[in-house]
Amino acid sequence: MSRIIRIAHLARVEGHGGITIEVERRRVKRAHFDVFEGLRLVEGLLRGRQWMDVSQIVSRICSICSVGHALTSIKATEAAFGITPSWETTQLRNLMFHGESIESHALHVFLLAAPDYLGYPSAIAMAEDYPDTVAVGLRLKKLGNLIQETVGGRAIHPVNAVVGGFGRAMRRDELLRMRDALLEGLRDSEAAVDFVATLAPAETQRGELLCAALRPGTGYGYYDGDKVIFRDGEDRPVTANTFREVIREEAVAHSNAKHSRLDGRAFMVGALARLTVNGAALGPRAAAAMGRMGLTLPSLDPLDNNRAQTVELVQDIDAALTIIQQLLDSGTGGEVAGHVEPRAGSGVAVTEAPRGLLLHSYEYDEDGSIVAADVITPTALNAAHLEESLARQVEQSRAIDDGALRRDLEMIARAYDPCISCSVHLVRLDDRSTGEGPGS
Amino acid sequence: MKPTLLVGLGNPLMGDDSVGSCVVDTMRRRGLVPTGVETLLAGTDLLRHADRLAGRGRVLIVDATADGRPPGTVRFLDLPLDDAIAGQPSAHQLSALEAVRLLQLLDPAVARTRFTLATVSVAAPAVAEGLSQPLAEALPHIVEWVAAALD
Repeated sequence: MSRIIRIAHLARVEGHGGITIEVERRRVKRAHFDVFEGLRLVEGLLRGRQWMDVSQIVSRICSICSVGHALTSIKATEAAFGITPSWETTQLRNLMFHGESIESHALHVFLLAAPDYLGYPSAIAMAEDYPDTVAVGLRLKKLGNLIQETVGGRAIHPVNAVVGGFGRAMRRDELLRMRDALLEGLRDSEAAVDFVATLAPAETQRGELLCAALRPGTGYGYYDGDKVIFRDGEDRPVTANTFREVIREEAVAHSNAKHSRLDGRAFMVGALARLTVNGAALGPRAAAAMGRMGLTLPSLDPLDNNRAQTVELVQDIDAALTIIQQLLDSGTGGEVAGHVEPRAGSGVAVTEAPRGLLLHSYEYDEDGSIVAADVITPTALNAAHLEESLARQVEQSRAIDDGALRRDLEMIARAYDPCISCSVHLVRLDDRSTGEGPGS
Repeated sequence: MKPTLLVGLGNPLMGDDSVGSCVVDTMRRRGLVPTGVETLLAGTDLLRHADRLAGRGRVLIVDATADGRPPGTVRFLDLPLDDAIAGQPSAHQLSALEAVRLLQLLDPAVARTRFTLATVSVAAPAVAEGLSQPLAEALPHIVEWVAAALD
């Protein structure tokens, strides 16, 4: 006799999704992370659009990841056109990524994950008893917003980052204002570590962790570099250009997000994967934060992604301060984009959005119009691994009742910080009737 | 005490969802904002503007609602509405109700502020620029009601 565990709507995640698990004699027959968010059709929308419009269109995939989508798009377009951005441009893009990470992680750790640990249905309910703690999270979110707004020109859907550089350079007073805000944020990042260190680990299963993360060009960055490292004891490097061939995306019936595997194995991306692959590049304050929270690597517990995000909050602030100081010392606020000469060709870019690896791939014609586009998001990459974690939890759970089990399942799903809006992705079609190439 | 603040919420790329922003923008352009009242077009994220809300005697927020009433229906609700917040369904943006409730819990300067939510009933918002015809026709009346509520 089988039973169904169903969580119709997973709360406190971005977008619309649920969980369905069918159990028969304590064995899971199927575990589904159901993504029923409507299709976005963005890749189809890009066809025929000019290169200068592309980053603006793709940033609308999501508001919380709009910097990630916009800059990954620009990076892919520059790869297609053979453009190498300057040091200043790369640093400012790195800074935007750190701002996005601060905002996203602060929201997730304080407003989405923390209520689970403390037994509240929402951050609003939690704020009645923990106002100072929630206020820390909101101040950090505001700090991330400030960086994105100052460099990107808007808090979401940035307009200042363009192919070849920036629309306008940062003024010295803008750099100093961000530096001052980051210095104030140091105390909040320490408070975040202290708070998360008090959260008791949940009774969740431990599974094998195959993870993947971008190997940054320098330091602990999210933008620069084009090599992805798959790690499970040993490293397996894969270039951005070959990533799609290696992971073998496939459509599944229960989800509008494709699933990916490496040699048949699900893998995890995101903060925990980044720490696992690039932890040696952490600064001293972030490394100390890991110790204070009792986070040891490699960790096989998906819930440790919450702790990993808190480590990155610390690292992001320190890295952003370093970048700003370098720009101040060099007397530059970035490079204004010059003339861009489009050309026919393909470009692939991989970056680290807050939730993990993000890939954009474009093919342009000689006029600089999109012929084909593909976007692979971290939530889609995580979907198969999340389903395996849910199944394992059900089979190994010592939860005393269905309510406790459901809570654990929701915590696991939320620990992946899924951005369901980003993950929906139309099944690949081969339009033979028009002679067009494969689309998505 | 800072002046009364009139806030318009909504996404201009989502058709009727933008009615809150349209009301405030129309009042600005036509000189219908009462003297001494400040205005704010807040997009879809009220939390981001917490600093602008604090320390005021009164804040009037105009936002769209898909409540099944005829498009253009305006209701004025004094906040907070505790029973309207059962959980936290969305991750990355709180509704106006949720954002006000959260900020009042965290900031005494917001807690002392009198908040009024003016809801404008809309049909299901969809990707589009500008308001639907029924709402566009109702806009002058909505503007009048909101302006009257500020007097």
